[in-house]
Amino acid sequence: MTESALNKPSINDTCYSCHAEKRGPVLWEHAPVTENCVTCHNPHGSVNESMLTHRAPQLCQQCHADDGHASRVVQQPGVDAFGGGKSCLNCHSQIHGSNHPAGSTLQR
Amino acid sequence: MNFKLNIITASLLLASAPVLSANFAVSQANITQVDQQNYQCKRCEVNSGYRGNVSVAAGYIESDDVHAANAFGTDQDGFVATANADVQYQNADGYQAKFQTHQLGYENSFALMSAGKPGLFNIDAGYQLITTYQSGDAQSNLYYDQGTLVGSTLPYAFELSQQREKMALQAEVQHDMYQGYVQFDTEDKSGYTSSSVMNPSPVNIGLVVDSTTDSFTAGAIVNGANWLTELSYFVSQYDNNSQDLSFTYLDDVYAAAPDNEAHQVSLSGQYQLDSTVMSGRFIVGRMIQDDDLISMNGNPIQNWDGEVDTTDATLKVSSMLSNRLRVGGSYDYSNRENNSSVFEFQQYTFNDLNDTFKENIATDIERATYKLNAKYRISQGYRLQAGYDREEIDRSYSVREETHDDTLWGKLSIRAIDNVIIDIKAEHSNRDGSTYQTDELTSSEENALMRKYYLANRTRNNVELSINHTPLNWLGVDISAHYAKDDYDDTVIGLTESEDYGVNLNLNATVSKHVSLYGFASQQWINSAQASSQSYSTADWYTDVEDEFINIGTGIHYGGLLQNKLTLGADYLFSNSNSDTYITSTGTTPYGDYYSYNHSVNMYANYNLSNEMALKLTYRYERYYDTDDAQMSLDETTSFITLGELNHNYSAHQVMLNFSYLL
Repeated sequence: MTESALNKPSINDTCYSCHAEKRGPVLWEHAPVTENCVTCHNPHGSVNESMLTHRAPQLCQQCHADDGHASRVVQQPGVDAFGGGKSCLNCHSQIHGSNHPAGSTLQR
Repeated sequence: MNFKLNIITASLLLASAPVLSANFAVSQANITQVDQQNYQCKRCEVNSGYRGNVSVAAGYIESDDVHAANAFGTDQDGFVATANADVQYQNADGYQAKFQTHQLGYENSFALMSAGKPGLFNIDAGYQLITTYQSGDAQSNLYYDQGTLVGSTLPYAFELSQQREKMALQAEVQHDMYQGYVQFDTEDKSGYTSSSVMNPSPVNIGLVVDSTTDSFTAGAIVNGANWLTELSYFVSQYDNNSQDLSFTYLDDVYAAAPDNEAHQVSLSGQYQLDSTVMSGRFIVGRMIQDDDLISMNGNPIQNWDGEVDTTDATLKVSSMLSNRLRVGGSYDYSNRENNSSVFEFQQYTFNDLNDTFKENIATDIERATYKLNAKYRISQGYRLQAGYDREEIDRSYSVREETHDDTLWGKLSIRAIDNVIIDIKAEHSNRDGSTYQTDELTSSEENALMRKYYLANRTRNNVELSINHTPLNWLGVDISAHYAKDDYDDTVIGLTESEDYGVNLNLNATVSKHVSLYGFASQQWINSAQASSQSYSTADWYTDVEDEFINIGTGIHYGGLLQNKLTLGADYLFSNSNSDTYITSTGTTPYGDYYSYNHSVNMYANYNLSNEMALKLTYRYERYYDTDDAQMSLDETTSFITLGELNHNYSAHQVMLNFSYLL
């Protein structure tokens, strides 16, 4: 009955049926995550891990351009913590939301 | 072996559904208006007794990378054995039972049992293992000691994989116009997933996954000749058995995902009045999370009362106004009302507490979608569809609190040419909304020119073409192509454009009574461009990302050999994904390699020893390679620690001999 004949009331409810740990609610939410899982993930597949539409840091830099490290050029991926390993998620690992009292920047 | 999905299978694969869809099975057909006097009972043959087949397989797997288990279904190396069954039983009174197993003993397997009598009752039970493997050679120098990460001088290797162990029970009863069902599912998830903590510089870790999710669904269905209604209740409880993480010298560096629960009550119905069909659903739900918070300075509460109320509603109407014209419309409403408490919590700046206090934000999201569509038969073989969709989203505490997407689409279906089916679809949509503002609550330092892509003004154009041609009665050809372009014309900083296009070709040929062939090839491109500003003003550097997929496959099935006793077959699949990133600042710099490819070969010979018994010899080959220049060895840099380079480069082989017995 839902769009695309999903078997749950919404896209997010469909995702939560296997990823209940991301259902929350959590203390510090990441707004696009809460709004719609497909904001960042393409469930039909992508070239990136976790079926992300883009990988970090490009995906993150499509929304974050603050006066700090989010705006910096990452010339090569495997050089430092900004592009290497998990890129932005090296520090902001709780990208789906954090329940840590001091977790507003989704780092812990 | 054919494993049809029954309800319990679907529930294991897709988790429990709060609402069963309307039952349009033949047994549910409305035959009250049917003139039965000219029909004669042909005495259906009752196939009482056992049917189906059972098989055992044994073989050998040679692999030096656990990633191959994603293809083979098991991470066992060397001698392997498994069992499969697909057995059905029915007695003369119509009572039925089914038993299915798939790859028993493997890390990806299932077993299902079902018993009942159609139209009366049914009981299902199922068990399933789903295991996914990322790497068998991740490295870390952190050990777990309860919730404490303890460092060691030498790194050790561990496996990044996760396993879901699912069990499900379901019972259905049916009597006349009434039907009831209950279903219970439990899933234990375990393993390690890649994550990261601050120490205070980042350290990638294998995060322990150890959780249980239980869900229960109960529902009742009442149906009449031209209507159906259903009331159901769904509850899901997530329990995380893993702990918050600390270092011996630094407390609480990572908060584990909290336990949570979700409830939904759903009322749905469907009604048919002449040539008009109406369906609707109304769901109210609540999501609760009140786990204990980490106790620390600057935390004013012991546990947070996180609570979100949800409302979802759907109404659809479709009516055949004439034998040429059908019109339809739908309305979807979704509301996420966050009633969680709001407090001020002291935040870290790097690793030191300072006086920064921040309130958590309880975001509300409301969505409404309207759709109108019409299908008109222009003449025999020509049908035109057109529609208008509008989606409105309101969200609180956002840089853009209201957005709306308007979409116009049309589709022409041509069936007028012999053996040819042509579908052409075109779509134009536009997103706009309220004034884009700097979000003072969440990002007061955001570049004022930034337009987040999921909120930004966007124009989307999309065309699709599909042709199905059967030039000869033994040959089928399918061709499809699509092109989509998104333009974010008002965006200065952020995603500015993206395009997605591709082509598909499928060939199917039944060359003779015993020989069939197939082949397919597809390629897809996804390109995007974004602009950034290192000077925190207008754009001064740019990124272009070019993704590409290729899939090629072919296969042959050759039966009827050796007096219909031998069947030979082979399948080959090649898949490749590639992503190129170009950074343009003072000049243009391409990123390093980021691609993967996979060759899969499957060859088999099936020999019927008798009418009941068969032997099947199968050989599978997997060649997999991926590389990502972002991967770094454990201590390649002093600024952070990784899990090592998790790329793959392997060839794996599997030989299996399968003995099957047809009941």
